Amino acid sequence: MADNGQHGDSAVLTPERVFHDYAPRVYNLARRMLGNDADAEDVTQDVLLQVVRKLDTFRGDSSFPTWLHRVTVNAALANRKKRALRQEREAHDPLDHFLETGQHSNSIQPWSVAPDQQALDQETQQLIEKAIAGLPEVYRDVYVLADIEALPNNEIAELLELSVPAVKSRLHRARLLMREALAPHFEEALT
Amino acid sequence: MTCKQLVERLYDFIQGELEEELSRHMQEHLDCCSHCVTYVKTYQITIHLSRRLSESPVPDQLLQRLREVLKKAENES
Repeated sequence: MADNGQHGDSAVLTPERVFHDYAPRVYNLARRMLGNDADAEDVTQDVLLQVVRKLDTFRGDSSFPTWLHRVTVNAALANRKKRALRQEREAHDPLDHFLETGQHSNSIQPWSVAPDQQALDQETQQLIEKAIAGLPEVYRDVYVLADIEALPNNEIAELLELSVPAVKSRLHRARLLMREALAPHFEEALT
Repeated sequence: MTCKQLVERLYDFIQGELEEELSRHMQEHLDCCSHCVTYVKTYQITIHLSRRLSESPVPDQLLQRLREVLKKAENES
């Protein structure tokens, strides 16, 4: 959600500009963190309302995108806490797939995806979104903020109230789980 | 070094944050283990693909709802 500078930090923030420029960013971040469209819509509304009510504070202020990240992440986390009845998904350990000798227990196949592929087709996009939604929440937050929103680890640590080593550890686990979730599709595509 | 140990330290290896000796051990393992070479490549592709995700459009019904809520908030301020 980094500000690309397309509108210039000095541009006056109006409700209309917030609506057009930031609603998709807020919605997508919330949707990916929560893995649920309905909750993401509620969070987007909450966040945009907070933004509009505090617009005067941010007229010409370059800290707006940072603040918006914080408000969105906090709103998503708060929303999640409300879902008391939701059963936590059990996270299996991606490091279980090794023999006692430490070797891979299965053959590791190459993928049919070009490493430098720039644009994703719709099917690949949906596969990745589904894999993200399937991550345990504890890993999904870090993954979305690091590998999609491209935030540095120290900012993620601050946002999620974690240590930087904890962010790195969770990010690595998340990447291993993502790789594992995507592998069957891309390996199968070879045959 | 085993395959499991390499995978455990892969994050630091990719980030270039490993101490030199450990990094050399990992490279030596990769020189003789094709499974781990493929594993590292697919781990990197996973990161690359996630960074290429595009934003989904905001649903029309939410856009309509937001317009109404924002208009109401503006009128109240």
